[in-house]
Amino acid sequence: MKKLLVLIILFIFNSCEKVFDDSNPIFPETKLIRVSLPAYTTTSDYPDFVWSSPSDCKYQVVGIFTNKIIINGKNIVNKNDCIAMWHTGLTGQAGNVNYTFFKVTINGEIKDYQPSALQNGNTYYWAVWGYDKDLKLTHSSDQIQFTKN
Amino acid sequence: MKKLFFLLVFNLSFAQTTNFITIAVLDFKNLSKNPGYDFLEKTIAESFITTLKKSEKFKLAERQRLIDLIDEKKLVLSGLIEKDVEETKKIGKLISADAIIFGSFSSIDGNIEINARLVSVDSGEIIMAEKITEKMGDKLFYKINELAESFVLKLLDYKTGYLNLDTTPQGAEVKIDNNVIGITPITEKKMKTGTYKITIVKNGYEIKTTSIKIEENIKNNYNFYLEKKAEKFYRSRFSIFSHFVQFLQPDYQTDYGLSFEYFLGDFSIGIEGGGNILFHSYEDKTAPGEPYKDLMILHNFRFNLLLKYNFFKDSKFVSPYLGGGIGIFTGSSEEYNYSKTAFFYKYILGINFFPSSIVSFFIDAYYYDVGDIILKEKKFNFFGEYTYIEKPVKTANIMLGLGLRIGF
Repeated sequence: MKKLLVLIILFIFNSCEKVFDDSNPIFPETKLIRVSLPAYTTTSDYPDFVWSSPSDCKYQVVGIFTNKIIINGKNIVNKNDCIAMWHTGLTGQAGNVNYTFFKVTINGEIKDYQPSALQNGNTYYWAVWGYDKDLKLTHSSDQIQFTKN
Repeated sequence: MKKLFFLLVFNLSFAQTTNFITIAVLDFKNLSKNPGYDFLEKTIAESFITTLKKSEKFKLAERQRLIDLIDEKKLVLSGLIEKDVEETKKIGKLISADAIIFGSFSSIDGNIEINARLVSVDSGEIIMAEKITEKMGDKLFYKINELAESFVLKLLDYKTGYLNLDTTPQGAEVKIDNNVIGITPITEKKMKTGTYKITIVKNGYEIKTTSIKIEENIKNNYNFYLEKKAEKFYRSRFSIFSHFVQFLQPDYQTDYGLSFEYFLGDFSIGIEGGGNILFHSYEDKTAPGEPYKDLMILHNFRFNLLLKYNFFKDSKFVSPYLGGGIGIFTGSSEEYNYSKTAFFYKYILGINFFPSSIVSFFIDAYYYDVGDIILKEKKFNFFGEYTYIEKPVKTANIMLGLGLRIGF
């Protein structure tokens, strides 16, 4: 009887978790990439960015924006708000990268040098998205807001 | 000297202002012990009679009278004559003949051996004796005819020579005045001296008409090459082809198709239809990591009219041709966001091998141009779905290929 009760509680708990997970991919009609860090706040000048890397993505891109990411169809409208970007060509790579590996992005173009440290008191938005071997955008995460303290 | 000899031999009938030499031809005796060859007894005799009848200088003794006489006297036809010259002379005189032709044949190792003799009735002398050996078949009968002709030549005291005539390939009939004188190879055929117009006939080969000269007492050797008859010329032709070697553009193209053409003199008009496949590969080096590589395969359809001039169209071996055509080119691909329709022209140059055969093949090259094709290459977009950049691709090309042609 006790065992049955435990199973019922576990089932209810599991169901509640799904209800409360309201993450949505930023690009429509793409599969969700779950992200974990950083979220809400970070104290590190060079924080780690962590997500669950899908194995079926050939290319993945992580972008840090100074404003909320605005999407139109399958394109980011406010490219100019992107201050740093990191990308990989490795399929199924680990899914975490330190800010020191990012490259500066100015007016939507990736430059070949490191960005300066995140500024205290500033709020940033980051997201990760992935492409298949045909360059089609197939995966994306929700955008995560965090503040550097 | 010979003439003198004959005048002596035939002095009663020929020299005494008589215009004819009267000849009696007896049946040839079958010594083979094979009754299956009995038919040759009369056949050989008939062959001599037929040959002698061709000349107006011979009169043939009445055969029935000869047979009756032999029956009445209960004589064995040839056996007696060979043994008893006096009896021969008597018979000859009874039927008023100047000479008698008789002989025998036997079978030796599958060959028929024929012995023939010409005997003067007046003197009882054997004027001529000849022997031929041949296997049973057409050639045997040609040789019997030759034997009869050589007797005629002797009787007429013509100057003679020998003909050796061969052809490549062998087995051709040789005719003089529509009479077959033999099948090649003809060896040492005795003929009256002179020049003859001969016709050589063999199935599947062109008829050859030429002259030969027979000189006295020598072997006159001739060898003729017979040309194979040209195959039937097929005015309508159906072809299947592909061109797969190109010379001008970096993007590989190939085509395939079917065509139908119809010959009007040396010109042929036709229609062609088929496909054209364009392979376009590119790299997008802006993609992260390894450059993105793509191979676009674009399938287009072509339809065109064709006009060609064919050199040596009846040739057995090769027929070069050149010509040109106009047509329409169309293709589209949702995958590559591609669409193209254009008119085009082409120039063509080629060689048809064995054009007279029902199945022939050809190698040709053509130049054609459908203008630029605008292709959209994918470009990686860091901020969303990939974009396109437009890339014009030239189609002007020289294509080399081959095909199979069926005539009907």
